Amino acid sequence: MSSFALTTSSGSGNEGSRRPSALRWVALAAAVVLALGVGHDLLHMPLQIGDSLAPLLDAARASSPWSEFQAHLREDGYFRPMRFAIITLVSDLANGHYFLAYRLFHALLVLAFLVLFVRALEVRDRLTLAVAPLALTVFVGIHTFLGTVKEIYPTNHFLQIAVLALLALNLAQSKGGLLVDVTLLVAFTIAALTLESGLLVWVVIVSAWISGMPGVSRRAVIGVTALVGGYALLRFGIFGTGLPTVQERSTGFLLEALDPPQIRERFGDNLLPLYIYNVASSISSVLFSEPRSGVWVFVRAIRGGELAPRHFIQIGASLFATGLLLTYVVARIRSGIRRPVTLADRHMVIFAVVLAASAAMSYVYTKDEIMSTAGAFYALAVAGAAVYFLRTWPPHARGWQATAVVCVVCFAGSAAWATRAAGVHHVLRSQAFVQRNDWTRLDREWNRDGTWERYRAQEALVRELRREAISTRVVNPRFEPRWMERVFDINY
Amino acid sequence: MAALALPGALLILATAVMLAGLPFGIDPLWRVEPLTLAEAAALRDNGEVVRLIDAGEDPNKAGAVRAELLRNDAQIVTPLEAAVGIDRPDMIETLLENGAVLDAMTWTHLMCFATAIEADEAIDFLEQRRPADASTACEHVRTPW
Repeated sequence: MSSFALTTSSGSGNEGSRRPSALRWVALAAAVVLALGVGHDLLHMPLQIGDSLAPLLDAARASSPWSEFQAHLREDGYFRPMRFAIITLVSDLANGHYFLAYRLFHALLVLAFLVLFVRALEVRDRLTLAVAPLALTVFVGIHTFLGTVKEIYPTNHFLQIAVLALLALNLAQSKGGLLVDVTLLVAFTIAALTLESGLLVWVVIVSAWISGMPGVSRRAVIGVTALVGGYALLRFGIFGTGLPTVQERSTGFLLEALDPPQIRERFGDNLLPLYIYNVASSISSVLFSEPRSGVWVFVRAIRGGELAPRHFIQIGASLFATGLLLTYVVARIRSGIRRPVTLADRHMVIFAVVLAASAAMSYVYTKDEIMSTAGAFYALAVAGAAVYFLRTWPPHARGWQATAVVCVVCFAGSAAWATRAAGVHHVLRSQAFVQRNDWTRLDREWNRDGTWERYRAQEALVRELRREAISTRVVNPRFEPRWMERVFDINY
Repeated sequence: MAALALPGALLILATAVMLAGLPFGIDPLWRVEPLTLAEAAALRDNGEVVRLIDAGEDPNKAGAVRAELLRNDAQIVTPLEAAVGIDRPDMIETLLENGAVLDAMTWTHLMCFATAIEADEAIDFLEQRRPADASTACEHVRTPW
């Protein structure tokens, strides 16, 4: 990767006795272990019906990925042709084994997500390696990660965007060159045509360049910015896609989810307060784990007398990590730093910009999934702050009482994040149970709403997918230890 | 440093140990408890109900339900009785769609049972599926509890 100028300290970055490459491999191995753990869960997850089965069936009967791409160029509010092309591509590669193909694709994306994250940490000394477990548990444990794994779409487009954003960051941390520039342009193009939040790849590239990352050239910034212009021209000028409106879907507001008619009833024609609320709550969600998709579940739990340890674990973990970030920012400003100098500084700047941009994109409706890229960059920023904290904390100069308090706080904060990360398996088991049960109601619901008429020609495939989903062995929540429901996150 | 690193490192280690057990059939994260058809119905496990029926289980045959799943003590009930026992029309419907028979005698039996335990949603559902010759007289009907 890059030079020592990118280390979390401004020093040599070569502390410790082990070779940097060995340390990096240890950190990568840890990431692979966690990715395999989540991947193992994914292979137990039945395909989802809602938002998933219809695109899968459409893909199975599409003539080619390109035809699907073209078919989805003109849609109201959403411009995601690449998403459907990728679903069709995986469908074509599946050769009839749809469940396996889509789940493997998902698991491989999760692996790439974690590996790119650890690679961006640039583990090259013992301190960074010591922080890597915390960084990984923040990365996996934050609720925004859940959206990248629990939603079993044919292909999880939120995860694709987060992976492409981390790919862009990794390239920005490289030495650069023509190949890097071209890859950045390709990554942006795929992301922007997959999902609206794909524009975050442009945000990452530009903020990396502004913060002084060596892999991004001026040429790449101009090129990718030109592509943003081209995107706007295509979307608004040629295809007239427009933007999503509040009529599209429900959104959380204070203590409840509002559907479109309720939004109209509550806000009338002046939607500005809702937009401001959505942006602010999206930012707060990443920094403090509240609200969740716009709903203040902690307050709701207090009012309903349903407070559980998980509420304190989630908020406590976030207060710890966000506290580290704030401490870091204050310390850097106090020490006279006015522009990013270290890798941690640069990660902090990029995180702040990605967070703001992600929140701005959530103005119409707020969803934890939209913030998944910001959640990944949050973990990077926390890691940098933690390394800085370890480097600058001289325990012998503070007295044993202060040291003991700091150790207890660090252990509690780190344990809270490890608990959240461990809870991902619990949420996925719960989700698998719900999704398998949904398949048993498919006939009934499709007969009722007429969906069968649309897919009658593919009945054999639907029956096969149903058989595959039903035969998937899932854990009945009744046999989960009771404490799990209280300690681990739940499926909001 | 250890205070920050230890919890996450333990989680990674535990995950590695779990993964190492998979080739030997040890899977603590996805340990599936075997259920009878009546137990699956009692536990709202529609997916397992359909899987078991697809695998050849008889949806009209009574089966054992372990203590604490439906009641404090173990029960021998049919899947339909279990579904009524938890007041889940959705489960009754799933069973009927997959081969459970709701004849006049069964209907009366289930209706009396639902009335006795005040399973209101089940009562509403059964009312809609009442066979023409079904009776509502419960004097001689023996309910599971």
